[in-house]
Amino acid sequence: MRWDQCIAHFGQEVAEFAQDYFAAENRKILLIAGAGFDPRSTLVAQCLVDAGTALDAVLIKEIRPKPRQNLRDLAEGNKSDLEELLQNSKVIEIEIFGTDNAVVGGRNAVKALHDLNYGDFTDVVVDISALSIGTSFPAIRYLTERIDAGLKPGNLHVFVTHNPSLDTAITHIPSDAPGYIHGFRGGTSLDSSSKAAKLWLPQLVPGRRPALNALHSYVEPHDTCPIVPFPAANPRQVDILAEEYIVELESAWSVDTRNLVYADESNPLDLYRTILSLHELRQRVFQDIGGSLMVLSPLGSKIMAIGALLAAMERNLPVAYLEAIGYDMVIGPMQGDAEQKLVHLWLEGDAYPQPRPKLKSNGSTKNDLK
Amino acid sequence: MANPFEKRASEYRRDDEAFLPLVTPDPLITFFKKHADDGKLYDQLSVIIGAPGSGKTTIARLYQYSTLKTLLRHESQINFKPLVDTLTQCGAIKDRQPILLGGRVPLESEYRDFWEFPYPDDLKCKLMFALIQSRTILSWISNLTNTGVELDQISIVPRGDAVAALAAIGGIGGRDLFHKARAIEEQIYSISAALLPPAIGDIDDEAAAAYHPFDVIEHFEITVDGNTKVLRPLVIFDDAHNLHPEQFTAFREWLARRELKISRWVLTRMDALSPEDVLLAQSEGNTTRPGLKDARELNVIWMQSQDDRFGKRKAFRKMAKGMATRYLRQMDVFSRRGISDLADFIGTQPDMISPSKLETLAGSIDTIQQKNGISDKRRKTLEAQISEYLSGTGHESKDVALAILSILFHRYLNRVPQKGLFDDQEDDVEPNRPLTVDGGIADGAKVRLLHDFDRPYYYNIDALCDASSENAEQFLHLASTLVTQAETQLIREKPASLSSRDQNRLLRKKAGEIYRGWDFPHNREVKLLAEGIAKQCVAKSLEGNASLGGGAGAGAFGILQEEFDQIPKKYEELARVLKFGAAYNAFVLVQNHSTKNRMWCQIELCGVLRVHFGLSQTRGGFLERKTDDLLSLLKQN
Repeated sequence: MRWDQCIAHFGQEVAEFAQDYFAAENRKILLIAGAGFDPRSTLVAQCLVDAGTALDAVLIKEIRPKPRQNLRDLAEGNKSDLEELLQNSKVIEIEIFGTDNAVVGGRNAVKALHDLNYGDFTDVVVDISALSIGTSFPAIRYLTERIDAGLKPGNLHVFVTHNPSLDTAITHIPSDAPGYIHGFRGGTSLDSSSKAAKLWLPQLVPGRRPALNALHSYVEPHDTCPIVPFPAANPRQVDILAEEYIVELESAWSVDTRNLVYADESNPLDLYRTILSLHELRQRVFQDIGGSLMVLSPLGSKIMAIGALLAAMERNLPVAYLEAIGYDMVIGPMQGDAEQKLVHLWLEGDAYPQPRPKLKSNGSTKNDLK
Repeated sequence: MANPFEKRASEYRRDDEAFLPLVTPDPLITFFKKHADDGKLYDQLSVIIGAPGSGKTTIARLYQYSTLKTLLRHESQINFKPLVDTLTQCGAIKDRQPILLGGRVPLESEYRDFWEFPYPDDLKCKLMFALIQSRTILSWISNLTNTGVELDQISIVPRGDAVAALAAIGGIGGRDLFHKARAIEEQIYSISAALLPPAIGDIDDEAAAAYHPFDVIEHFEITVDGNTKVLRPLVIFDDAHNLHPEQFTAFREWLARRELKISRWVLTRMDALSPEDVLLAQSEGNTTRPGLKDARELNVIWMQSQDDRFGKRKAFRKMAKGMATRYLRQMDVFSRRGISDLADFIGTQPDMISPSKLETLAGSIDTIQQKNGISDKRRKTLEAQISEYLSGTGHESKDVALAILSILFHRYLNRVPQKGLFDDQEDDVEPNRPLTVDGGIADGAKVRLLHDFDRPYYYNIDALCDASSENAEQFLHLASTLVTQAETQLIREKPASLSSRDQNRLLRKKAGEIYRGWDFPHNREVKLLAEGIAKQCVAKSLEGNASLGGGAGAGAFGILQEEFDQIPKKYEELARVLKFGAAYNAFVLVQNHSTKNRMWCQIELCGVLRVHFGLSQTRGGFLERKTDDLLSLLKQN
């Protein structure tokens, strides 16, 4: 496993690590973060600045059609705060939808990152707290593949601010076009995969039934193993989800109760290891009868999404996703950061012995990355 | 046991044996037979347009070769005869054998991605067409091998003029065709799946450029034990609305070429069409089809056309009942008790309003009478008329009779001169036009009772069918709530039957959920329009005299046809909203409707919206409005 021993920091450890590592004189950091309405947009930048880090920043502004005015105001405020905090920053606008409502955000994000010059930087930090899955997954995969191909930057870090209650407060308005995230198609549409036994691993989230049902219809799995958060901040969260998804679990998806996948809500590596174990087991069982195909749908907390991302990158698993055409937020700006928990993962770089276990090919040639 | 109504079961039945019992043949007769008789269905490019849930994918799956083989294999075991007969009439089966080699190719977002590549349009199209053709070949071969045919038993007969291109597709043998198609697929996939598209100079597009199996193949042959069977290839491209509009146009033009020998269908939602196409071309009688105008090259099939609406509603009721029976048979709870028909537990008798509410209603009518000096004699005459009408319908009900009386009072007052202060209040005056009681007034009375006293209005199987706006998926969604309730009652050892009050409550709740759950493009704007239209229609329906054909029929805005025709040209945003409203079953656009010697386009609310807002299911009535009224509703955004 490439990230079995991944270096990770949680909560207070993150600030200490930032002071020890990022503030070192020989470090030149490029921060890639979202400049959206999410109240968590500024926390990681603040943490790095507080640690005394020398930072350049690229702020990604995701453009969706007709955002609500309150969210537009919040986004503008966050952008100003970030620009004030980060002296060397530039804002890149990424259109998430094309003129025909097709999802093009992931492709646009990769193109924008490809146009950056990484030569001056020792580390790239991606803060996914305020980035959507459809943007952050291709971005991180692009940077990982660069490093895997021996290109600069040398180190890749991922940060996320964990706040389950805020995740719940943000309502996603789903588009009607499920699809695979750019760069995460995993060979699903190839004829060679047509006979494979398809297992779908959706992350159950409160309030996302329509989106998950649309994804189920899209993926058409042979079997479904929903991922639920346990341990979780709310110990009854699994019961709440089971109640909300009872029709899907019993009828539409026909889920055997033994097929629920439990993953630690606060540790992405737990889900990562679980998915890889499942993958190993299924490969052996199905290898002689058409193979196995595992499809992920990380709709829930960003922390668990990172676990899914790592597994998807390592095994080239497809990630089915329903992009949000817009958002709504039922609370105002956060009152404080008491509930916030920072998580840091050092994905690639100096800390790991070389050569690293290889990533399964996505079909892209390394030359493309240069 | 799972409730198959919760999700359209035909979507997730993976095995053909489980899928086929759920398929009803009626849509094939309604939409396809005429085109098969014309000879256009398999000779020209057929573009089949329908809203989500109209049954496009079910038809696509049914026409696959392996599905047809399964159908014929089980013909004698299960009651598939009507389906086989229908497919025979539609030219898919002959002498109890499939004559088409149908293969379905879903056009998912993967193909749309080609349009984002930084390449010239012709290269983007070239790559996409090569991928599509390779996958079509793989689909045809897979359909054959799934029925037990070996690769070596498959061959093609090339067109006489395509010998040179034969080598590029691998040859005539099934094995060679298969391997070449796989190689092309993987070659192009590596380009489309990459995080970054390769530089144009790095693309080896020569193999893809020469790969044109559609231009080469005349037909397929299967040779088993010395017997050769000829099959005409049919490719069914599903979900073509995922393509970029320009890509869709190029794709359509490419497939419309007359020299192609293979049969080809393109199934799409209206999303892929321009607003002009959707707004102005829904009627099959309409010959001006911008964008789709080249009728000689295209065979367009609208799965929600506005011709013969009465006949289509009747046909849909029959189809929906058949579909419900097929679904109910899948549920042990019902089949164990011999319940195989929705009508077995959906009551048709309306529940009256409570005695206290009846008293309130009677009191309000007495007040109208006294306040306006309507004579007792006049009241008795009207009551006699009402009683006669209701006894004729076989549904005598005191609350409805009172509500009709209220409407007749208002109409009477409109038709007699206003009384002066010193006139004798008890004098009976003849109205200038006689008052009659008919179905329209009775319907209006029931709608008022629904709003004022919560009297059930939406109950019985026909109401359920009509609420579905002739859309199978909508029907199943609405029916699911009734089926779930009946199932619960059975599990609790209670009778399955649902009272009209239960049905009304459950259907209105479900309709609200469907409405709030809309997630299609521009749904916010469509909701604004829908709500605006609905509110004004409700207000009209609740007017005391229930004008407009009994008052209940108001469920639409009518715009003069010549004014409506200008919308795509003058009001781009409004046209787009109307297009998506029509494409996703929010509105039905009834074109060229003649009223008052003028032609109108009705923007009619769908059945679900009528149930949600409490409007009659009777169609035809509309409020006369102008384009500006629609624009002002949108401005509230």
